[in-house]
Amino acid sequence: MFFPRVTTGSDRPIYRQVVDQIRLAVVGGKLRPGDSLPSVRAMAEHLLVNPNTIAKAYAELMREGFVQAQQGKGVFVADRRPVLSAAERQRRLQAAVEQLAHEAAGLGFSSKQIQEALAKKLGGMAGMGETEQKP
Amino acid sequence: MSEAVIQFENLTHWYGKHCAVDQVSLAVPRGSVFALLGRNGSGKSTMIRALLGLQKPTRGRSRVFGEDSMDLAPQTRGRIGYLAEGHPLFGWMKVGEAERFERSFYDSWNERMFAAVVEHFRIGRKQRGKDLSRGQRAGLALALTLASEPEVLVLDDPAMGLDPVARQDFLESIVLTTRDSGRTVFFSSHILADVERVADHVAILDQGVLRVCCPMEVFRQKVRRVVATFKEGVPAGKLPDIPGLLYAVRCADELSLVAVERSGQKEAIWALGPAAVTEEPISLDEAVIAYLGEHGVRTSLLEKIGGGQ
Amino acid sequence: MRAIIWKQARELLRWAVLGMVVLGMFVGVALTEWYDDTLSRPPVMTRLPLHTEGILLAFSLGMIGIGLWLGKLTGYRARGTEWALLIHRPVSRTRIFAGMSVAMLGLYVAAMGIPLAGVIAVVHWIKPRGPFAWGTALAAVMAVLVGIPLLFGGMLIMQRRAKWYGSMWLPAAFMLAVSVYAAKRPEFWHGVLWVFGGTVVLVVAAWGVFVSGGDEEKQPVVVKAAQGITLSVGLLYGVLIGGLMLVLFAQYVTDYPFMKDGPIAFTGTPTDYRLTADGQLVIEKHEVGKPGRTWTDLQGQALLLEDSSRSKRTVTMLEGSGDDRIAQLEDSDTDGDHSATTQLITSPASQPTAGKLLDNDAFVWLAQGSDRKGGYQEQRAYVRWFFTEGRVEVWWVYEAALGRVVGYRWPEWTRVGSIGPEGFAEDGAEPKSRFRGRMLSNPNVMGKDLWLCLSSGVYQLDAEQRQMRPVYEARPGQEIVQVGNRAALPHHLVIQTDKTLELVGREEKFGNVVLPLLEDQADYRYIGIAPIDGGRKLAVHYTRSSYYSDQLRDGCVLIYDAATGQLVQRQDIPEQRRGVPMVAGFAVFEPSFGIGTLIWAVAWKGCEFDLKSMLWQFEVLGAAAVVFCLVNVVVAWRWALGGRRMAWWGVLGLVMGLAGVLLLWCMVSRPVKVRCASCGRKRVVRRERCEHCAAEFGRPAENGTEVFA
Repeated sequence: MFFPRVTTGSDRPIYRQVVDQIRLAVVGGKLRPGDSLPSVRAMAEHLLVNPNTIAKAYAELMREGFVQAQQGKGVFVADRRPVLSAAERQRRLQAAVEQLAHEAAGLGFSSKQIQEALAKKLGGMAGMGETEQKP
Repeated sequence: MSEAVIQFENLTHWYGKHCAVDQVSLAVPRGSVFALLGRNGSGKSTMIRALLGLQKPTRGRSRVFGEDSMDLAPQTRGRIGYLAEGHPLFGWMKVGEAERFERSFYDSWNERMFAAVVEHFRIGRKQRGKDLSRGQRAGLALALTLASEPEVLVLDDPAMGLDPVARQDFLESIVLTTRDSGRTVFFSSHILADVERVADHVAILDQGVLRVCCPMEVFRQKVRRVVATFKEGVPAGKLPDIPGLLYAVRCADELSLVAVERSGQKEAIWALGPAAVTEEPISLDEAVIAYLGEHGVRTSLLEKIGGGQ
Repeated sequence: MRAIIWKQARELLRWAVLGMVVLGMFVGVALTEWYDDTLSRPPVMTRLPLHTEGILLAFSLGMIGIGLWLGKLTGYRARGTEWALLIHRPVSRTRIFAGMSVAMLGLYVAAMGIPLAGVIAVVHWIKPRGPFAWGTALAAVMAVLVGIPLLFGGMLIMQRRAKWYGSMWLPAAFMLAVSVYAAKRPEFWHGVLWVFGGTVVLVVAAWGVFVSGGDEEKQPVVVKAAQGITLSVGLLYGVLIGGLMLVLFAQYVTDYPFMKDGPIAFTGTPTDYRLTADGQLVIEKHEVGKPGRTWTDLQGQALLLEDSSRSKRTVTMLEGSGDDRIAQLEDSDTDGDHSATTQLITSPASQPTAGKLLDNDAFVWLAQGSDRKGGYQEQRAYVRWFFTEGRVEVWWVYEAALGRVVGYRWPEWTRVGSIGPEGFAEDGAEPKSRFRGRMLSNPNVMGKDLWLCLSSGVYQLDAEQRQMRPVYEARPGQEIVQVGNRAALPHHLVIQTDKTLELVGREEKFGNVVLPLLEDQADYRYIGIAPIDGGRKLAVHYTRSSYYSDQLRDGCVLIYDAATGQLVQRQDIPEQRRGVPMVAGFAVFEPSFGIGTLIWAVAWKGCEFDLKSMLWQFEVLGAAAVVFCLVNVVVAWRWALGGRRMAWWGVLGLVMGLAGVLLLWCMVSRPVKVRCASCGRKRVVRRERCEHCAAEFGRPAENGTEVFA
């Protein structure tokens, strides 16, 4: 069973940490479509956080299409069918890239260094290319 | 979720010439875990005591389940679990006696819950309340409160004086109670890590005045850091009024502001003529401290000492 | 509620047990003393065991110690955090209070009652010695009962949120007053009623304080009233004592004339009357600064009389004849003063120029009505010991419960048998017959060691013959009220029945005289009978005032023929005019009490009413009352208590004076005031709207950083 790790006192709210880690695990292949995820209650009790927080994280993941809930069975990793429009996804990617570029430039890295680091990070995410290319 | 279980209406309390709580109005929705934050003496305990009808407010009122706190019917009281500050117990009672004493007042009593919590805190049945450690006392008090299965749990600074292990045990017990989604928890605390974990609503009381009362994520989203970078150093002199500013720290060519999202704020910052303005999220600790600390441009104690050298 | 009782009982148990053990030790010491024949035996001591000082002292101390301590603990355990912990449960606060009270009361009664039952068991069954009467237990029972106000008073003192330090202890004055007053009632059930009444007030006050957590604004009116009563008693005591000290100080510094004889000074000097040996009522005068006295008859004619009590006066006729004579009067006072004066006496020759005055000793006095009250604390309600002369083998004692005179062999304390109306019967073979009627206290019977005075008859013990000889027996349908036989009438016994006044000759040669009682005799407290005119006549003086004085102040004197019982003469003492009353200086602190005293003095004490000379007193007191009323009204107005409460406090200030003002400060918390944003005047923070301009409070200023969903 997959449990994300949460830390308190971080810049990111707990629900965001849960969303990000599950997303990363799905994208990185640690979680495969059909894998079951802990119930809201079980995860809340395991992480010692408010169940509403986990419910909110699952809701966001469901909206993004990463997980799906099956009535009476639990929560599972979904087959990746994008739920956002191409334009929206494009917009979000631009925002993320902008943020990365600003941060990295502010830290004084050259564009080559940045590209390398990005490639390294993406290298760990096997099979990401095809799924992204489909639409 | 929308129904308010606890309501404060213009609650005001004066102690002598000191106004401890100043016209606070807030509502706690059913099923929420509501954290009341504030410094020592900011009026949190006063609010909780007023909520339970233990103290008559100078003005205003509070309600639980729609009933005025000062006239709570005994049955309504039975639906409210209350853990007072410092986890008071009748110290001479043995754990078993305390359970028997407490359960005689309630129609239903969750023995399994009581046994589980007591065991979790490694408390022996034959021990007397006054011989327990601080954490165990808290555990026993909590077990006695939880076993009556209250619909609302009111905790006055439950983590006070507990070591990290006891706090962890305590936190687990609180999460346990929220299994029942209809159960509401209203608590005051200093331990922001706990608050971050369990609370979904947050209210901040600053010297008796309510400054924040909203869902946790709204708070996290609205309060953030804005960093303005300047080419030729931060302009000297007094900062102009920036809407929503909590505090600002000047560095050589950077002005770092912690501020609440407000219209007109960006414009006010750009008016200072920075080269770039970026926004970053901040941790809950930082946000809460920004509220409870001194507002405006801040120099820390360390800086003050450093400047004197 | 059972759980609350259990909890409270567990908390108090060890203290109750400790109290019981200490009390038991005291009782044990007292009992040892009682069984010690050198300390406690007739005639050295004739008290029954439960009436001994040791036992009563033990129970009184136990009552104070256990009562106050249990009350204090209960009250102390019900305030602050413990109160909050106790209150927050699905039971009404009244039930919690009731549970605590039941536990406290139960333990108190047990801690006091068990030693009491123990003492009774020891002296009655385990080791009886001499007579025993169940009624004697009532005194100890009352000692237990008067501890109940202390329980709740102690609780109230500990729980009440006192505004200033001294006021915390104010209810103590009330609870002690209730206890002491109840313990002193001569009727047991009167005492019980007082305990009950006082306890109700204290319980209501303690209950109100408990359920409101000490918050005075939440309390119902009845609780405020009960608290007001408990505080007022202490405040009134305080004000009166404080005022008295102030006046005494003023008197010391400035020679202030008030407060010479209590709270009221009577400006007139009362006229003193005396009776001469031939039954004439005369007026006695004693001029200040002069030794001796002078006498006139009721018309003002001077008389020459001999006063046997105070001084020896020798009258030597110097010269004169007819109506004018000059006499040499020589007075030698009992304390050695000696003076001689020459006086011109003008009196008709027919008047007796010299005679003897009767002094107090010449009368046999009967105290009316003193025996109609219960006096259950007194020994005489239960037993009457007889003291025979010579070596005692048997002690005789009349036991009221048995109606027989019982003999106990000394020093074994075995019961010999008892004497009834029919005579002596051995122990175990006693008939049921008994003397009827209640025992009289007969304080005016001399040589009563062998007498038994009952309302049915007077008897004398003949220890040799083992019988009770009747001296006088009441006629059918009559009841003896009082018996007296002072030295003034050595050969007679004076008996007052409910219908007659009789002189019973104790030896054959003296006949009996039966006089009718004055019809309105119930109005008089004392009846004095004196033989006059060489025993040929009897003077009967009915009076309302005390008889411990040679002077007669009120009532009437009836002269009877001693042989026939015929009324010869009736002389009424004119009602005393006492002049204009002057109320003591400290009455200005309690003006309504001062005005009440003045009215009482005029209406019931025979003082003169003269508006002109009294007006200034009424003015001063009235002004003081108005001042206290205004002080309360102004304070209530400043504290914005609202019209009705303001009026109430005004009335209390008017009626209770300074105590009323202090009561306001004790009972109502002084509100905080802030400047009103709308009208700029100071307003109290506890009202929703400004008392001046009815504006509401503004919201706290926003600083632009609020986040509300």
